[in-house]
Amino acid sequence: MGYVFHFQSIWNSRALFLSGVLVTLQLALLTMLIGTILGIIGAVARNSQVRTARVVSSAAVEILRNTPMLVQLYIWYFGVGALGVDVPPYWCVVIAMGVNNGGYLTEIIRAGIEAIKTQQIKGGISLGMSGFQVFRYVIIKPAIGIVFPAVSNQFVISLLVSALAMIIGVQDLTYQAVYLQAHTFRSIETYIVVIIIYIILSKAIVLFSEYLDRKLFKYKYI
Amino acid sequence: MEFADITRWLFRLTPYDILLLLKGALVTIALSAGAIGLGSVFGAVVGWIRSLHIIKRVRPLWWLTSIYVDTVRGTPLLLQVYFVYYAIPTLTGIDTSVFTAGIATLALFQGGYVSEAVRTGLEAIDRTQWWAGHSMGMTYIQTLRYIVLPQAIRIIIPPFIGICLGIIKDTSLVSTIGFIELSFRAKSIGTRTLETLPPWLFAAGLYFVICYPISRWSQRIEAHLKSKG
Repeated sequence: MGYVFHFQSIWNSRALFLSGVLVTLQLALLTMLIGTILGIIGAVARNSQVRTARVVSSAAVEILRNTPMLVQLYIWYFGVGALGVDVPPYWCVVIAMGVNNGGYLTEIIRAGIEAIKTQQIKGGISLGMSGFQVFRYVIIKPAIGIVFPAVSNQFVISLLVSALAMIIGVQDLTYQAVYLQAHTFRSIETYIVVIIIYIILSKAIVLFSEYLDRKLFKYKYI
Repeated sequence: MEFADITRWLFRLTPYDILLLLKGALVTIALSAGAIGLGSVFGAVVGWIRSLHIIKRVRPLWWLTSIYVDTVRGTPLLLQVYFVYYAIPTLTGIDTSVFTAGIATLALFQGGYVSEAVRTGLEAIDRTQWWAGHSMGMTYIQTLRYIVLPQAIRIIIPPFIGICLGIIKDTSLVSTIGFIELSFRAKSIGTRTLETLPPWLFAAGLYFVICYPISRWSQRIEAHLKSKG
């Protein structure tokens, strides 16, 4: 173990790390945004009266949950190319991860919706709410409140999964780490710093989710 | 393109390529089995140690296990693969092959998640159960074996199967350091034939064939455990 640690070259390239952190956070946030929207749509389709919607939703969820993210990423990347559409890798990653996250969030939000009792919905209707109001205030918001811990866990997972973006050349934190260790030969120092950054980011997301939970769903804490 | 053209294009893989992909799928299954076996045993031990009451008073040991669990659960697997393959040899001078690095990383990853599942399962059992066992004259091992574990196992099994499914899908990541399994085969066929999409679609199908039965089975087990109570 005669290894001498040397962090100077890492400190000199702090700008690289910062840009990597920003890209990683952007990816995680966009993934969550797309995922939540798709998750709500998927969960509603799963419970709908239309048979086709139910079948399409559950088939999509099974395919998304039972194939690796890496394979899905390549299929989006090459598939979009095969169709002749020119999409930059960054947006390809956002779409692939957003859709994948949507598959997982569909299952989570569905569990929340199924926990809402029919009496509650009837209560909303008898208060004179419109269909959309019932959906928004009586179904979706309490449903997400019930499953919020699982949703925030999914947020951490989407941060960790966003590291795959480097495989098709998006310059996120992992990409910068690999780039830097290849240029400085300081692989251990680079990886230790990046590992610490990732742990801080995931802890920060957990804390942020708890804050959001208390702010958005105050009624749970009365 | 006509529909027939699309299907013809999708099945442009030669029988030889399909054989390569199937061989890759076998490697993926073997790799997942190895990682799940090693990782589950290691994770169960770590989780059991972390559930002991003494451990929270011996701070250094608690911190050591916490560093392990938090690092595994708080960093991307891709980064862990790179760390074990590129950084560990420089640090220790041990020359790790792709095979050892791949299996070791996946097993450590599995272990970190399993340890938390085991710990929460054991901690969910009320302390009065332990007291009941001891007051009946049972030893520690007997209480664990006959009273606590049968109850804890029903809490542990659903997340455990989820973790195993995750590791089967995550074996695709060790292809980035050159482990020749399903994803690596798909990638190399794509590079050789310049038809990148068909091998990846075929690989996705194979992954689905491996994972879907397990996920259905886990749903049935979960329903079974719930109905019992």
